[in-house]
Amino acid sequence: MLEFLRSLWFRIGSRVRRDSLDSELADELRAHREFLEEEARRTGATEDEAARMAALRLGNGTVIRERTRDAWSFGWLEALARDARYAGRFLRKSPGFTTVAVLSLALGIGANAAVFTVVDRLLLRPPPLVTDPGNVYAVNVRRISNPAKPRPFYSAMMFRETLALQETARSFTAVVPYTAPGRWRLGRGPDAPRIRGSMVAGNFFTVLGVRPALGRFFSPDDARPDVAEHAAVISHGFWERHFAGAPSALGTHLLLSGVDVTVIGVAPRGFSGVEMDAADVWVPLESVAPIRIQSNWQEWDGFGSKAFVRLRDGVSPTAADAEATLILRRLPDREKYGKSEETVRLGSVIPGRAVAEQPAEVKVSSRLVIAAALVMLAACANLANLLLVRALTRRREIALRLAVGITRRRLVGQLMLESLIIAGLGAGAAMLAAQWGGGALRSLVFPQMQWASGTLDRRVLFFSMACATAVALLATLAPAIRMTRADVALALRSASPQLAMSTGRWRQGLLAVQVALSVLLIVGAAAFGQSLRRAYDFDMGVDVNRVITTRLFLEDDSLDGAGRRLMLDEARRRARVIPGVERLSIAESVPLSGNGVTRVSVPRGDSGFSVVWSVTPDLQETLGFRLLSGRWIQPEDARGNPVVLVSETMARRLWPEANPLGQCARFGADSAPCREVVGVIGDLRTRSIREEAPMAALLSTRELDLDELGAYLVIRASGDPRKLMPQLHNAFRDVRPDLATVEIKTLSEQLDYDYRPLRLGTAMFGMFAVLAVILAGVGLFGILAFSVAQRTSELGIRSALGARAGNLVRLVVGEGLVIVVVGLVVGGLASWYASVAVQSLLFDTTVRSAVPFAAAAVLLGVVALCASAIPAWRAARVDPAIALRAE
Amino acid sequence: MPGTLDMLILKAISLAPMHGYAIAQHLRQVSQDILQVEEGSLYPALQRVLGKGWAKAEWRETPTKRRARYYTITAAGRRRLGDEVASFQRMQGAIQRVLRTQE
Repeated sequence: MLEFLRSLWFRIGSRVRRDSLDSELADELRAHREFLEEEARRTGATEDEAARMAALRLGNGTVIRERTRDAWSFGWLEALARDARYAGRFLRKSPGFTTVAVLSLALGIGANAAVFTVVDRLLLRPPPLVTDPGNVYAVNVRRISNPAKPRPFYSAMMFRETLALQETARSFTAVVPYTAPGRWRLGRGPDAPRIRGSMVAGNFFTVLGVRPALGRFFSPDDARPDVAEHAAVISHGFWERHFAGAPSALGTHLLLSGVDVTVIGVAPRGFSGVEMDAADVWVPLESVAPIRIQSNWQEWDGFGSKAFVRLRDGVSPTAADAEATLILRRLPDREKYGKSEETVRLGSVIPGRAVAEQPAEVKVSSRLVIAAALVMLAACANLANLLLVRALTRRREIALRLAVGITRRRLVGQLMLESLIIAGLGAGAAMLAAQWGGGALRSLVFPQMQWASGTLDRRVLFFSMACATAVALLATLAPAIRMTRADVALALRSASPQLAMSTGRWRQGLLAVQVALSVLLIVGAAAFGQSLRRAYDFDMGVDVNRVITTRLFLEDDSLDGAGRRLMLDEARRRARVIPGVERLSIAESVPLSGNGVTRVSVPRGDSGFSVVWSVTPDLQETLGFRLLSGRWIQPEDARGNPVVLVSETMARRLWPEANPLGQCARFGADSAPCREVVGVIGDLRTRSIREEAPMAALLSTRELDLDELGAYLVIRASGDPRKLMPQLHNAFRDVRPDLATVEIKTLSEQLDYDYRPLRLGTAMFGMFAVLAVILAGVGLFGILAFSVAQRTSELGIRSALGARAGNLVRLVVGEGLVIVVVGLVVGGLASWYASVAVQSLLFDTTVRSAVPFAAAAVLLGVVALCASAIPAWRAARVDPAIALRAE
Repeated sequence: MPGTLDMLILKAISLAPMHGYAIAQHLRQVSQDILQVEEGSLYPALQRVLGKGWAKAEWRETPTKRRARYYTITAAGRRRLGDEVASFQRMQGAIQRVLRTQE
C-alpha cells in the first residue's frame, strides 16, 4: 500500500515536471552515449564507427523515451482519456444516432424513476415523520347491516365508537380519534378561500411522536370543551403559503368556518398524520367538535370519526381486533344508531397494505410501475438494436484500425467506452426527465399531498442506470468481439454479409419485442380511455352534466329557517333572470355530497339502509331524475299522506315479487308513518360512479328543513353550466351584504374523484404507449434502412433482371411487416393474459374486447407503414447500373 | 523474467552508487558478457525503480570529470532486493530440483 502511494506520488510529480524530466532523460542518455563512444574510441574506432556502435548498444532512443514515460504516467488512465475524447468525437459526428440512443434511455429511465418516486411513497412507505410506525395501526370497521343478506362494507366510525375504544380497550397504549380532512372556510366574505381542516384528538401529535417545526403541539389543556381560545396547528405547507414561513404566525388568529382559532404550532414539512392527503390545519377535537358538529358530538350518529392506535407491546393485532370488536358490539343503545354487525380489523398505515379499499389512484399508480418498466424494456431493446446496427456500419473502420495495429483489447475497450458514454448521457438526461416528470406526476395524481422527499430517488436511478449500462455493454460487447476477430482483409475488401446476417435475427427479435411491448401499453391506454369515456357518459340517475349546485353561507349562522328561506328566495329571484338558467329549485342536500342513510323497513317484510332525500316537487325535475313507472310527487302530496319514490334497486330488493307501486315503506324509527310508494325512479349513485347502486328514496316533504347546515340552490342550465358560474356568483353577492360564502359547483366536477384515476391511467398509459410506439417506429426504420443499404447490390440485380419498383417495395415492406405481425401476436397474447392486472381498475370496460386490440393493431400497422416508406422508396429507386458498379 | 532486470539493477547499485553506463558495464563484466541488455532498456527500469522509491538519483561528477546521474539504493530498495533474491533463489532451486529428477 505504502509502495503504491509512493509510486502514485512519483507519477503525479512526474506529470507536473514532465518537460524537465524529459530533458533530464535526454541528458542521461547523452551521457551514456558519450561513455559508449569513448569506450569505442579506446578500442581504436573512428568517430563515425564509435557513434554507430554507441547507437547500436544503446538502442532506439524514441522507444526508450516512450517506455520511460510509461513509468511516469498513469498509462491506462491517459489511454482512457484519449479513448474518451475519441469516442466523444465519434458520437458528435453522428448526432442522429447519439440523440436517439440518449433519448430512448432518458425516457426509459426517466419514466421509471418518475413513477417509482410516486409509488414508493404511496405503496411502500409508512406515513413520513411518524416515530416507530411499525405499531401504529389504522382502525377499520367492517359492517354488515342485514345479517340475513350480508353485504359487508368498510366504513368510518361514530365518535361514540372511537371514544369507547379510547376509554376501555386495553390492547392499545393509545387510541386517537380524528376526522378526515374536510374543506373549511378561512376568514370572512363571499370569496373566502377553502382550506383542509381536520379535528384530531389532543394526543394526536404526541402519539405519532412528531416534533413541531415551530411552536408547540396540543397540551391536555387545549383539548377540553371549555377552553378560552381554540388552539390550532398548521401544516408546513400552509405556513409557507399563508404566512410566508414567518415565525410571527404563532399567536395569529384564524377564522375557520366561523370558529376562531389561535395558531400555536407548525408541523414539520411533509407531515400528514396517517392520511395520504395532508390537512392544512389541525384543531383539537375535544374543543372544536362541540361547535362544528353539535354540543353532544359524542352522541352524533354520523360516521364522522376515523382512528388510529398504538398497539401495546406483546399484544397481537388479532387479539386487539377481537377485543375492539367486542367493545363495539357491547355499546349501549345500538338499535338507536342503526344496528349493524361490526368487526374491527386493524390495518397497516402503509397505504399499499391497507385493509380497507385502497384509493383508486394508489392502485392505478402501482400498475403504472409495470407500464414504466415496459417502457424501460422497450428503450433497452431499442438501444441494443441501435448499437448492433451501428456496429455493423463500422466494420470497415474497425478492420482498418485493426490492420494498422490497434490491439483487440484496446479496440473493444474503446467501443464499450462509447456505449458507456451514451449510458451516462442517457442517465443524466433521465435525471432531468425524472425530476420534471416526477413533479408533474405528483401534482397530477395527488394535488393535496405534501411530499417530504424530493422527486429523485437514488435507488431507482441507480437501478435504472445499472440496467441501461448493462444493456449498452452487452449490445456492444457481442458484436465487437465478433468483429474484431473477423478476417481483416476480408472485411476491408467487401462488406461481408456474414455478420449482418447473424445479428439480423437478433435485431429482428429485439424489434418484435419492442412492438409487443407497445401493444401492451396501447391496449392499456385504450382500455383506460374507453373507461374514461364510459365514466363521463355514465348515468348517475340525475343529470350531472347540466346541473349546478350552489350553497350559500351566512357569516353568523343566526338565521332561522324562515330567514334562510327569505334569503334563498331572494337569491332564487336574482338567479332566475340570468339567461341560460332553465330550472331552479331549493334543496337541503344535493347528489354526490354524501347523502344521509336511513333505515328503511317494510312492515312484515325486509329491511335495510337507504339513501333518502326530501324533495319538493320541482326539485325532482330540476335534478333530472328518471321516472320509470308511477308518477312524480305532486304538490298535493305535501298536504296529504306522505308518499315516496323508490329507486329500482330498492323496489327489487324490498318487493322482489310484487309490484312496488301502492306498497308502503317506513323510513327511520318504527314509529314513523308508513309511506306509500307512488313511483319508481332510475337508480342513483350518491358517492361514486363505482359504487353499487344503493337503495334510494325520494320523500315527499311539506317544507324543507333548512335549519340543518347550509341550503342549496340547484340550477339546471340549458347549455354549458360553466358559463353561468360567474354571473351566478355576481348575483348572489348582491343578495345580502353579510353573505359569507358562495360555493358554486357543477355536479360533474364532484365526480372528479372518480374520473381522476381513470384520467391518470389514460394519460400515463397513453404517454408511455406513444413513447414505446415512437421507439418501435424508429427501430423499424433503422432496420429497414440498413437492410436496404446492405442489399443495394442484390436489389440492383433484381432490378436488372426485370423486377419492377413495386416488387422491390413489397420486399422491403414485407420484411417490416413480418416483424410487426410477430410483435403484434406476441404482444396481443401477453396483453390478453396481463389484462387481469388492470381489469379491476377499469370502468364498464373489458380489456379482452375488440377495441383495445384493434387500436393496437391499427396504430402499429400505420407506424410500420410510415417507418418503411422511406426505405421502400429508396429500394424502388435503386439504379442497377450504379448499384452493381458500387461493389 | 519480469522484475529480473530490476533485481539486477538493485544488486549493482547496492554495491556502490552508479550511473546508467556503469550499471550496464557492471552487469556485462560480472556476468562475463552473458547478460547483454540493450543498454537503453535500463532507463525505463531505472525510472521504475525510482518510482517505487527503491533508489534515489542525483547528478554528480565522475572521476573523469563528466556529469552523470548516479543512482543510490535506499533502505526500501535493500529490503526489496533481499526479497527478490530470496524468491529468485527459491525459484532457481525449485527449477534445478525439477531438472535433476528428470535425469
